[in-house]
Amino acid sequence: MNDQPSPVLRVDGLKIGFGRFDAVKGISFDVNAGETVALVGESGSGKSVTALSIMRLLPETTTISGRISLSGTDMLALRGDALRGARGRLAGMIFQEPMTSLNPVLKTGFQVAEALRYHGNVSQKAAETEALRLFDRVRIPDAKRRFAEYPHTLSGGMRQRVMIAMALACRPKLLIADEPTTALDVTIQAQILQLLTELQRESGTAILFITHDMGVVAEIADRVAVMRHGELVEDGTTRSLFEAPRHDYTKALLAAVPRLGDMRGSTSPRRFAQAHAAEPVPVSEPTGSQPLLAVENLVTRFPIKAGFFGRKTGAVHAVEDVSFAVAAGETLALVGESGCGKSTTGKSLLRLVEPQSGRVTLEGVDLLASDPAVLRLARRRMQMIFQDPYGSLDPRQTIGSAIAEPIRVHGIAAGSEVDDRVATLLKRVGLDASRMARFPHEFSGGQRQRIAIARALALDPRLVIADEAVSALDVSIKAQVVDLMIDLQEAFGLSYLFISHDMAVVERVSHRIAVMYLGRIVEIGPRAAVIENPQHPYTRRLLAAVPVADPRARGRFEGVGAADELKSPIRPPGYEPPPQHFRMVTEGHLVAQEA
Amino acid sequence: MAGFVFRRLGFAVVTLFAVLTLVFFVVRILPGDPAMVILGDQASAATIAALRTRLGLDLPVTTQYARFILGALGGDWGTSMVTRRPVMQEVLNVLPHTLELTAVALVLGIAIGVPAGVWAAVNRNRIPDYVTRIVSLVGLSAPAFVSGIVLLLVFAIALSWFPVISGGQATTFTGRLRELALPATNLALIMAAYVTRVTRSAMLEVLSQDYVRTARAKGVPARVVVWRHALRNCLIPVVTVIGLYLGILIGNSVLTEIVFNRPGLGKLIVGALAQRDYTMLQGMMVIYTLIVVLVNLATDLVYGLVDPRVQFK
Repeated sequence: MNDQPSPVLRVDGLKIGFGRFDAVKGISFDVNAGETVALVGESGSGKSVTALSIMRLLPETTTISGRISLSGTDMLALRGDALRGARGRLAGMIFQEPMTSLNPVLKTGFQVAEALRYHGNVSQKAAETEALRLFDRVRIPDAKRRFAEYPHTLSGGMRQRVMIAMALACRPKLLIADEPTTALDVTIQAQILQLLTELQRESGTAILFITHDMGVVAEIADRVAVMRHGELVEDGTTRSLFEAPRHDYTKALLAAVPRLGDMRGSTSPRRFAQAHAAEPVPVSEPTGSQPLLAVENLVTRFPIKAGFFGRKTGAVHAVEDVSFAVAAGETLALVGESGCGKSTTGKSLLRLVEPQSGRVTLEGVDLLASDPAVLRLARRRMQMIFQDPYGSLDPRQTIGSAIAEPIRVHGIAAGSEVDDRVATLLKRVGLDASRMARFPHEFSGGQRQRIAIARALALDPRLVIADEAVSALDVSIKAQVVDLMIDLQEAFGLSYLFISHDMAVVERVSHRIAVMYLGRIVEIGPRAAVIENPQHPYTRRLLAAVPVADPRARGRFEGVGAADELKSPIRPPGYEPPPQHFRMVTEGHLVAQEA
Repeated sequence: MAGFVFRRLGFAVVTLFAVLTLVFFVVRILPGDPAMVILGDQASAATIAALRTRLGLDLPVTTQYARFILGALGGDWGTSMVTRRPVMQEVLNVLPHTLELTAVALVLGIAIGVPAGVWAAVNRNRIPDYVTRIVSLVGLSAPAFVSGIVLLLVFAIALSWFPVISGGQATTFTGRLRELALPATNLALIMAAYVTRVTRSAMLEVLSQDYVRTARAKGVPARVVVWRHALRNCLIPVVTVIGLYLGILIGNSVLTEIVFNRPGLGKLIVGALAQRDYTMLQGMMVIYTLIVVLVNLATDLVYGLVDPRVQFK
């Protein structure tokens, strides 16, 4: 390691404790001028706590020991105004949630200018001139107008640019970025990563980049430090770490990372687990002539009401003329970025939101025309798993009773038979049946998602709608849950509608892929066709933006640093979109024609 | 914004109209003939009939209703059955006293409550927090008439700093302030207790928000973080509670006006109730409705000042 000019950040034997819990157990690392160091780990590894401790932003009750030296200043020794003066001047920080990290009642320009005001003797006017220049530097289009606006009028990507401008305002030697792109869509993530790279090239700022995403690490970091349970298990250059990981945990972490393009040349889903690596899951032939689920011309719009009498001033065309089919035993992935209508499509199928028009047939039953009794029966055949395993289980209900509830409600079993079924289901999803009487908080995120899957399976459904079911999970857990879903598909001939924004996971699990953009399907087809031969410009953009967990593939984002505005699916009242026409690329691979 | 105020005022007219209608019918549903109530049960049938004609009670209900509404809109709220003076005039006579009392109490309550709430939140689970919480709990629990009497005993009788009877007679500015001091403090203390508690809990929530962390991370001094970044964000719930509390304030002003023997709407309404002065009660209901509607409108407008995300459409 090059120690010649002293490092910008030196962390030495850092220990952080919350009460009796040790979050960080003595870690040491350096960040040198102009380099990007990624601090990687899964949730609970202590990486974010480490980042916050550098800026001394942890609660006062936290015990910190060791040494944190920032440009030669001993951060742990600072008190009061000296500490305040160091924050923002020696290091700037950006956070995971751009939506909540800006103050909603202060103008964006003011907030950036404020970063300058309290470091040195800067007048408000000078600070604002400098802030406006910073807006340009982080490539905010139409900077003058944005400067005078409140944060709620800006998109997530734009807010993160404002955060970066704020963090860099005092030209700190170090930028600490705590999961800065995790909450953003992939195309926006690509823009922000490229922007950070460019800014670093221009000013030589060192970056400490905290992330859980190995793909992002490969894109941006010069060196990597891997954390687990508060300890630093391995560090090294990005290249050497990816090519020859030394520690078992690093190896497992890298093995669990889905890589887009991994599945080249195969058509079926594949498990992550090494033992099954080569074993494809066969698609069972569709039963009879009709598919299990057929969706035709589904339309779901939400009115936007305004004014005193709630006059309709427009509509969100969340789902617009969407048609697709899912065969028995098949996984159709519905992909797209936030706001594209993929989740609304899933909810419309179950009529959790009421569609305007269209036809949804499950095993020949028209769900949209059905009366409540038929719908109730149909819901047994079609179950849903949600993204947030914390929010979708009642904290005051034992997991046994949560799984038993649908069984009882639908009168499938009674008495001790219910418990037997619950036990079988728990075993099926890899949980110990003896933990039936436990409450959700006693389980980890991955275990809870298993419980949610068991609950969905309780009614013996044919189709499971998985709405971002693995998105909130850590990589290694994500891989396990995906494997479980593939196992269950094989065992029960389940069909999945797999709604996700994560292209790499989608490539693993799906037989076919439908890409949604602004409420419409723009491309649909067999997985290999869509990923290896994307035809629609949006599909191409989406695929190009996916970070690749391979440091050699870097530099693909060159030129995407400029921001582009998000399009919106909000239309004036009475707007009828032009009908969509599809072009067939190959058998089953359809692409929307641009009007 | 102007359009919003205009529409909201239109809404106020509709509400007022509904209240007038309700009042009209409620009075007519009540058991007993107003004429008989006025004249007493010893009156002869002829006298009662004469009064009924004079009051217009023998006309068809629709005609009576039309007369009532038109009269009310034209400022004629009828004549008090007890004092024989126009209701409108009686109300306008005492309204300034109540408004004065309420306004001073409001300002005092906010001036005490908001800083106390912030102080408690910033020092969460330390002595200032405990003290504020206990004091505000006492403030919430003490009825207005009890705290009023305690204030009188201590500051008017034992210390003789302020007059015992604040009759609204003083003509000089300082004299009026001296008269106002105790009743306004009495109302303000209860109000401050509410405001303190809401400010504290809103502030605690805001202080844990991401944008407060952002402000600290860029080196903004703690004092600026609290007063500029956090306080404005916690004002929405505080403003809501103040708006709602104005209703309670008017209720408490009834008790306060009686304890301190002050003229005002409170005393007027208690008198009207005791003497079954129906026309007076009608008028009071209208004036209270008007106050509540206007307070709500003001609350909504303040939201817009506090939070840029609030839009007036």
